Amino acid sequence: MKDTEILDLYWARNESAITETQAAYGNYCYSIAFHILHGKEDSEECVNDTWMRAWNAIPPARPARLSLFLGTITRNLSFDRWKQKNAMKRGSGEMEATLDELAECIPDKSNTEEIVAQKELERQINLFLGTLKEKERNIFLRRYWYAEEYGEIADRYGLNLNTVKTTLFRVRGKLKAYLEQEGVVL
Amino acid sequence: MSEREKREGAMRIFEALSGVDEQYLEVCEREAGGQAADSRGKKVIPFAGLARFSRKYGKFVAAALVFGVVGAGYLGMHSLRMGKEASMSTNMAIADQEVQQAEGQSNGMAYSSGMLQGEAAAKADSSVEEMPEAVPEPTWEAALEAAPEVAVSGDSSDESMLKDNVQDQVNSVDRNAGVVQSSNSRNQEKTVPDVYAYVPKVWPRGCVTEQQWIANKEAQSESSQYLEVSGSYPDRQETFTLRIMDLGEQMPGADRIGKTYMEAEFDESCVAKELASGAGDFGVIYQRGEHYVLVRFIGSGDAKEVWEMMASIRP
Repeated sequence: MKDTEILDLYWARNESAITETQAAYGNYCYSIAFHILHGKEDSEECVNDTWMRAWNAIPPARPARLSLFLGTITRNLSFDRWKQKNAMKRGSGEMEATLDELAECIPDKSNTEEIVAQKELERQINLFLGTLKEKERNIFLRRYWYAEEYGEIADRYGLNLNTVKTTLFRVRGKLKAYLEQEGVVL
Repeated sequence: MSEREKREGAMRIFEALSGVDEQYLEVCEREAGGQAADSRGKKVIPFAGLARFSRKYGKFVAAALVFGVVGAGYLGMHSLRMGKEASMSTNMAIADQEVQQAEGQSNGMAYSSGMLQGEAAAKADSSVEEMPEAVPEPTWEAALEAAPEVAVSGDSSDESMLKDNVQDQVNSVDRNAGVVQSSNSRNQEKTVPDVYAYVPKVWPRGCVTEQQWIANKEAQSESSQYLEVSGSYPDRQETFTLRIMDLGEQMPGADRIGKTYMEAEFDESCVAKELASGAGDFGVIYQRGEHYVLVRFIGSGDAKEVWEMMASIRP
C-alpha cells in the first residue's frame, strides 16, 4: 500500500492504518530500535509505541515521508528508553561506543557564554551536515542516526572497515571544529 | 570537562540529530539501495558473506592471481627459451662437430655419431646449468600480508585513492627482515623498510584502532611521513597514538622524543617506568641492516597491555 493510502486511513481514523503501517514499516522501525536498544522486547515495545504516537499525531500531521516520520519517532522513543535503562551507568554495547564517539565532538571551550537551545543545535547540525560530502554525510548518519555498527556500514556501502572508521574520525573532528567556531556550548 | 558533562553533551547531539533534514535521510536511504529486512529487522543481504569477502580481499586475490599468471607466463617463456637454447646449442655443437669432423676427416680423424650426440648433449646441459634460476613467485599469503588495509589521510576517502595505496603496497615482502622489495627493484637491489611490518599484532583489550598515513610537511625534527595508529577505548577515557617512521640511515638524535630505547634493550620494565605517571612518550628503534625505524608511543594505558602490544611488533 502506498504512503498516501496509509495516510488516508489515518485521516479516516480507520484502525487498519496501524496494520498497514506495521506491514510496510515494521521491520524498518524495529531495525532502528534494535540498533539502539539491542533487545528484542524493548525494541518491540518501542515499535508499538511508535504506532500509538503516529495514530495520535496523524491528523493533523500529514508527513511527506512517512518512513522518516515513523523512524524519527522510533529513534526518539528508543533513545529515551535507553537513557532510562542506563542513566549514567557505564556498560557495554554499541550505544555506549556511539555516545563516547560523539563526546569527542564537544568543544573544549567556547568564546561566548551563550547557551544554545536544542532547536538551535539541530539547526547548527543541519548546517554542518550540509557542508559534508554526500558519502561522509551518509556514513555519519548511518552511525549516529541509525546507530549502525561499523561492519554494517562497511557492508552497506561496499567499503572496508578502516575507511568507515577513518571517515567517521575525520567527520567528528570537523563537527567539533564547527561547533567551536559557532560558539556552541553543550 | 568531566566525563558526565561530555556524556550529556553527546546525548544532546544524538537527540539533536533527530531533527536532521529529511532530504539527508532520503539520500542516505537511497544510497543504501533499500535492502530487505527479515522479521527481526535484520538486513538480509544475499551472499553477504561472499560479498564481504570479495570486497575485503578481492583486491589481494586479484593481485595474487596477476602474480600467478605473470609468474606462470615467465616460467613458460623461460622454459621455452631454455628448450630453444638447448636445441640451438645442440645443433651448434653438432654443427661444430661436423666442421671438426670435416676437418678431422681431412686430417684423418673420425668421430662416432654417438660421441657427437653425447658431447652435444653435455654442451646443452652445461648451457642449461648456466641459465639464471627462476625467481620464486610470491605466494597469495605474502601478497595478502604485503597489502594491509589502511586508511589514507586527507580529504579524499574514496576507494580509488585507497586502491592506489593498496596497489603500492602489493609487492614481494620478506616479513622476516621487515623490508619490502619494490616491484622493479630486482635489478636495483634496493630495499626500504616496510613500516606496516611494525604495526603491532596484539592490541590492548577493548581497544579500537584507526590507521592513517600522515605527511607532515611542517615538522623539522620528525620524519616527513609516518604511519599513525590511534587507539581508544569505548569503556574508558584513555587513548594512545603510535607513530611508525622510517628514519632511513640516520640514527635519531637523543633530543627527538622523550625517551628512546633500542630494540634489544626495550623490555617490560621500560614500559612500566614510562607509564608510571599514567601517560608517557617513548620510542623504540628497530635497526634492519643500515635502516632505522622508530615506533613511538604517545599516550596512556595499562603498562602490561602496552608492553604486550609493543612486544608483538616483530618485523
